[in-house]
Order: sequence, then structure tokens, then C-alpha cells
Amino acid sequence: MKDFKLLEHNLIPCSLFVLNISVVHLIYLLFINNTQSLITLLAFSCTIFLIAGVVMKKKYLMIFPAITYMLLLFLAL
Amino acid sequence: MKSNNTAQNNSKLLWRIHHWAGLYCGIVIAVLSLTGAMAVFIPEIDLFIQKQYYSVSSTPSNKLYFSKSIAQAKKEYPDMTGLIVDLPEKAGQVAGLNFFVGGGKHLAIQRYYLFVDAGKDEIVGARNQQNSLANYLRQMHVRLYDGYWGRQLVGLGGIALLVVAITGLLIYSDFMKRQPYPKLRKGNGLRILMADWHKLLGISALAFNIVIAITGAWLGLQPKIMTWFKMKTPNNFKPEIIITPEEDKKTTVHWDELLAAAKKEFPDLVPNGIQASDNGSSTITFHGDIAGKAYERNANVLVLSKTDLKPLFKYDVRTAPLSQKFYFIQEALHFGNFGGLGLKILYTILGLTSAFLSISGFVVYLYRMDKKKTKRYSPLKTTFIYCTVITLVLIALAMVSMFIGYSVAAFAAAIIINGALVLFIVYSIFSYIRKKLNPAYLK
Repeated sequence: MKDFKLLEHNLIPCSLFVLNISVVHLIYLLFINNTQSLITLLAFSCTIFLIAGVVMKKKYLMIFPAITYMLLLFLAL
Repeated sequence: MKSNNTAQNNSKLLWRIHHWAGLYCGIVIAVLSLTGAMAVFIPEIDLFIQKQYYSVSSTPSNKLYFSKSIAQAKKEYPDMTGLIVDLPEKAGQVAGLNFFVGGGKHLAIQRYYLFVDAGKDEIVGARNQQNSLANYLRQMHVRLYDGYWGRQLVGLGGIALLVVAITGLLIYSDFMKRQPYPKLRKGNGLRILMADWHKLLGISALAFNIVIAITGAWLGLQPKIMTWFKMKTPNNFKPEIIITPEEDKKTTVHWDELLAAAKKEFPDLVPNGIQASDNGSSTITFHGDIAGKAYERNANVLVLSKTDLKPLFKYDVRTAPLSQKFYFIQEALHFGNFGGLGLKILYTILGLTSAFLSISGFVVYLYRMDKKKTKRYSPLKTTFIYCTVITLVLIALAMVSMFIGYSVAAFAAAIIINGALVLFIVYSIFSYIRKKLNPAYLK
């Protein structure tokens, strides 16, 4: 039950929150043709892992990409 | 035990805030969501109308030509003021001459918009900009078509959306309990199904709705906040008056040389509009964007002297302090015009979730009330009637705006909005007094 709560009530909302931002960011990066940069690769990977994490309900697939992406975003700012 | 009770009380309070904010502001949020989803595509809709309705386009050319067209417009309208040349974004699109005529003691100001074939340098058509569909969509989303306090109401709608989004997140776990995301409980009636969709879409588009709420609240309340805190627009520049307005109007401008000078002074600037002064400052102002940057449209400015083409002021958002970058990112984040058509489609889909959340929340509320009351109206019928009436009002205002005139539509919108506000306040006072006089009504 504790794991269920952590996953369903905390990690999934958190992942969806980050996913909203990363998808918009990724579309922007692709639009400006920034396809060769590390930031696009990381944003793309984090987005895919987050989607996989939410679909497969794997907590580490949500925690690591979400933290990595948020760090990346703050560093990019 | 005590902490359990406190948590329950807090949860109840958050639910109440979510419930009342959603119920009272849901209608504004739904209208803004619907108009916002369309407002995202204003440039595309406007281009489509230009091509299909006005049948105007530009002859393909490597350079933009509009000197002769300006000279012709000045000849036809010698009293024109505030001329702005709208430059086309892509080849094949028309340029526009935007200006005012009149405004004397006994004359009303009239706004004119002429289409220019920027390849042939010919005026190819005209329209009333204020009565256009693009203007309707913008005015409806920005100020609910009401000039008095429509913009402030939109700002308050943004705050309400922020409140419902945050309280929704905080009560999410209480309402999900053992229900996994994204499972819907089917076969338990429409109320449960709507409640499940409400939670599912609400949490899925949460970050987007929070961003839209914050930027929308800021954009709506911006004029008042900036006045109260004596803030100034960062890219504002007031040049000195050096000649008389008449001399300024007569000063000949070589547009080709001006465009070349602007390119030299600000190479990355993609100008969207050029404004020639007529107040005696003898300047030409370029407003534009920098490709690939997510800032407000026309945030970058270059002011050149009409006489020697020397730069008088240059505002490049890239080199501005972080606070100013933050100021100029709000509108771009709100309208999603920094990521092409793909991002606009995503903005429309996510933006429509807040309309759906308002409607689904209202259906759930009606089902709850339906249980308590002896009168049994169908919640779906009631919601359908509300949605149809609102949509018809929006369509009627659009028709009036396009085919009769902006001012008539604005007057009608002011009556509808202010009338609804007055009715709402009177009804609230009446209900309050009735509850006070007859406590049994509460039971």
C-alpha cells in the first residue's frame, strides 16, 4: 500500500508535471532545429523515459529522468 | 488521532476552495479556454482569410518593396497618422499599411488597413482591421470583448485557474485513494465517469494549466499592476522632439536604405513592423523578433534617425537582464508561438482541457445537487443548455463584430458581462438573506 501511494499519489503526478514541461521544451528544440545538441538528446531521453515510467509504473524510470530533466532545465536557464 | 483530524479538515477546506472557485469562475475559465485554443492560431486564421476572402498575396521577390504604396496611401489620405508598415513573415504574404485618419475636434478617428503586394509594390486591397475575425478572437480572449474591466476579469480568471489547479493537486490523492492512474471506473454512472475524467485530465495537464494561469493572470492584470507599482515597459523609448510634426510628416524616407541600415545595426532582428514618426521626433522604429527565441512578439526594438539613419535606441532581449527576459517570456509562454505549428496544436489540446475540466466539474456538481434536491433536472441537459447558450452568444458576438461593427459588439458584450455580474451579485445577496431569514432552507 505504501508503494502504491508513493507511485500513484506522488510519483505519477510529479512525472506528469515534468512531462508537460519536457514535451513543450522538446518541440521547441526540434522547431529551432537544435537536433545535434546534448540538451535535445537529454530532453528527448528524459521525455521517453518519463512516458515509459508512467505507462509501466516503474518508480526509478520516473525519479531519475524527472530529476535529470529538472537539473538540466535549471542549468540551461 | 488529532493529526488525522487536522489532515481531514485541511483536505475538506482545500476541496471547498476547489469546489467554489471552480463553480463561480468555471464559466470564465471555459470561455477563455475555448477562445484561447482558437487565439493560438490567430496568424494562421488571418492568413487564410486574407487569401480566401480578400484574395490578396504578394508576388515572389527577394526584396520587399512598399515605397510607392506608402506614397500612394499618403496621397489618398493626406491626414494619416501613426503609420505602421506590417512586414510579411514569409514569401507570398502581403505587407500591410496600418494607420489612422481624423481625430480632429469634430472628427472621429478611423483606422485603416491596406494590403500591399510587397513584390510589385502595389496596394491590392483594404479591410477594417477592427471588424476582422482575428481582432474578435484576440479581444474576446484578452478582455472578453469588454473594454471597461474585461482585461481585469480575465486576470482574475487566471488567478482562479491557478487556485483550482493547485487545490486540485493537493486533493488528488484523497480522491484517487486506491484507484490507479489512468483507470476509469466504468459502469458506475455518468457522475463517476465524469469525476474520473476530471481527475485524469486535470493531473495530466496540470503543469500546462499552472503556466497558463500564472501568465494569464499577469497579462490580464499587467496594466493595473504596472500602474500601481510604477513599473515601466523595458523596451519603451521616448525620443526627443526636434522638428515640427508637419516637417516630420514631410520628411522623405528611403525605405530600402532604412532596411539596409537596420540590418547593419541589428543583424539578427527579423522586423515585423516599421513605424514612421509624425510627432516631430524624426525617427523610424523597427519592432521585431530574433529567430529561435521564445520571447513576446515585437519585444526587440531598433530606433533610427530619419535624417542620418543613425541608431538612437536598440533593445535586444538577449542582452537584457534576467528580470526583463522574464517580463518578455510571459506572452510567448501563454500563447505558445515559439515552437511552430506542432507546439500550437499541443497548446490547443492541452488548453481545451481546462474547458473540459470546467464542464465535467459542473456536471459532477449538478449530480451531487440532484441527489439533495426534490426537483430533478437532468444534469446533462442543464450542462448542454449552458454550453449551447454560451457558444451561441460567442458566435453571435463574432457575427455582430464582423458584419455590423466592433463598437456594437463591444457594447453588447459589455451589457452581457456587466449584466451577468450584476445578476450574480443580486442573486448571491438574495440567497444569503433568504438563508439568514429561513435557516431551515440550509437543511
